[in-house]
Amino acid sequence: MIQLTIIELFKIIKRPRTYIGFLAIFLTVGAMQLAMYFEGEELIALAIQNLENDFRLEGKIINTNLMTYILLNSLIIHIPILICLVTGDSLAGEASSGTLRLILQRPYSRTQIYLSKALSGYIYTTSLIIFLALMTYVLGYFLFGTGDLIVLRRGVTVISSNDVVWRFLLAFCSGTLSMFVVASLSMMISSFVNNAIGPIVGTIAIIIGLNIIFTLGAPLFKDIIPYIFTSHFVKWQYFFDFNIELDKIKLSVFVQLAYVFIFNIIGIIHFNRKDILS
Amino acid sequence: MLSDKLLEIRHLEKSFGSFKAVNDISLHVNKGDIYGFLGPNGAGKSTTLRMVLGLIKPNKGEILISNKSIEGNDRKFLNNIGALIEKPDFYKNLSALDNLKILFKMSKLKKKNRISEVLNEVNLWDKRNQKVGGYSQGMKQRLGIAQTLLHQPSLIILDEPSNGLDPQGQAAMRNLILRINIDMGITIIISSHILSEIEKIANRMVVINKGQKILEGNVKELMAKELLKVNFKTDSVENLSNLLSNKKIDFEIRNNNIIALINEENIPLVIEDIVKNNISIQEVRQMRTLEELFLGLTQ
Repeated sequence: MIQLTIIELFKIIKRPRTYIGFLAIFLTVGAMQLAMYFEGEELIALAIQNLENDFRLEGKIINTNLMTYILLNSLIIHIPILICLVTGDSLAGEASSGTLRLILQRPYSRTQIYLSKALSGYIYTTSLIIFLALMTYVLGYFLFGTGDLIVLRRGVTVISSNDVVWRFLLAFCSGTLSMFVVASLSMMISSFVNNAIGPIVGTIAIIIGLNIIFTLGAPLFKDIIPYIFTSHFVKWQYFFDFNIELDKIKLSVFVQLAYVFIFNIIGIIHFNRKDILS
Repeated sequence: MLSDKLLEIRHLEKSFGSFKAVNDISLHVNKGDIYGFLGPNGAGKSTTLRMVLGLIKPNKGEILISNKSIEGNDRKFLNNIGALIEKPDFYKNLSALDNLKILFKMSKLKKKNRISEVLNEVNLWDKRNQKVGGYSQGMKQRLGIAQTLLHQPSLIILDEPSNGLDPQGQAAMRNLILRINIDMGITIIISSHILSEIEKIANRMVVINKGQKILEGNVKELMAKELLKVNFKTDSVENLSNLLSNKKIDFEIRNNNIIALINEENIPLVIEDIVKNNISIQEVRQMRTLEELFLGLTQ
């Protein structure tokens, strides 16, 4: 399995589309940080104008912690697209290019091949999130410096700069788990089709569709919303509450792990039964 | 030629929806054979070969490699088989060397110089660092053969290996296949629509059509069993046509040529009668080809 995973990582590293994700993060984060650098004061003043009636705010409000917090929200749509480019291509891309039948003629089981592709997909996903974290935090540090984090969520929470790093670490871990769900979903769809466009479009369509349900919060879907995986894409924000609700975090982790497991099981079962006709 | 069976297929069946692609096919390939796999497009050749490789699951039947069934999840049987199915597809953004390194590691091989051996075997060592995307069709086919040889299998399956090659390329491919069979002792199954190719290199063959086996056996024997077309070039068209009519042999006249349908065993007797009757003959030529046999069987 380790050997197979290394081979899959080698293929990912050698594929040009792998670097689209890193380039997109570099450009997006860079552009947002620069925009905030030049026009951030006005935007923030607009956002906190109500607060200034009740509080006296001092110090650097725009700092690397706030920038990282804002950019973590890209986990909802932007980062999933970048992940799908690679994980959605892993099986379907090989099917369409004919290399799938080449690797299936070697003495590894289809389950092993599927799992090695999933593992390498998770490693790619993790590297993308680490890159996002480094880009936002390091670039933000040089542009804005550090400072206390003001979070506007269910009221106002001010988190000291000394108390924020561990929260970000856990938030990025939570975000990574959410992105593992995306990678698993696109891998599963990838096992059903023979072209790479299907898993990318399919995964994004599902995420957007479920996000709409989540955002509308219609009473009809009220009971299922906690179990829709996209509703957990923002659960990293729990780590920035004054009193962290561990039960909710545990439930979120459990639901997302369940999705990772289910998507992989469906993908493996289908891939094992699939006739390779490409 | 050894007689023990390397591959045996028993009552194999495969349907895609209501379409029966392979219908009760049984055959066997002996060790050392070059086994021709013939059939028109859509006959079920590729489906059968893919089932042998475990790429397609049969609905019914059994496949045995060295007397062991390939059913189940044990993929070790693939250590014994190298295959080039349809066209040689590789990772185009990688070099030939990187492609073979991937397959080398996936085959759990240890012999370090094996990649250089197979690349030399197919004359691609000098081009090893070139990306496969820039390879010509002939180079891709040779690389395809190299990957089949990588793990030193006892059986190689080649599905249309001469597809897209020019006549020189086809001849080179034929020589390579013969060398693999004779020098390395590897059994080969070759599916091809270039029938003359099968005729030149295969010792045994099967013809399938519409998913069913039509015949299987020794190429020369199969050819001999059927009536042969014999072309007589003569100035005495009338005399020869009378002789053939008397012997109740079907024929047709084309200028100074008479094309007769004769059982192979009777050809010497007919020629003997021609000599006895002093009928002058400028040329006698056998016209029966595998292509004609194939067309006759599959139409």
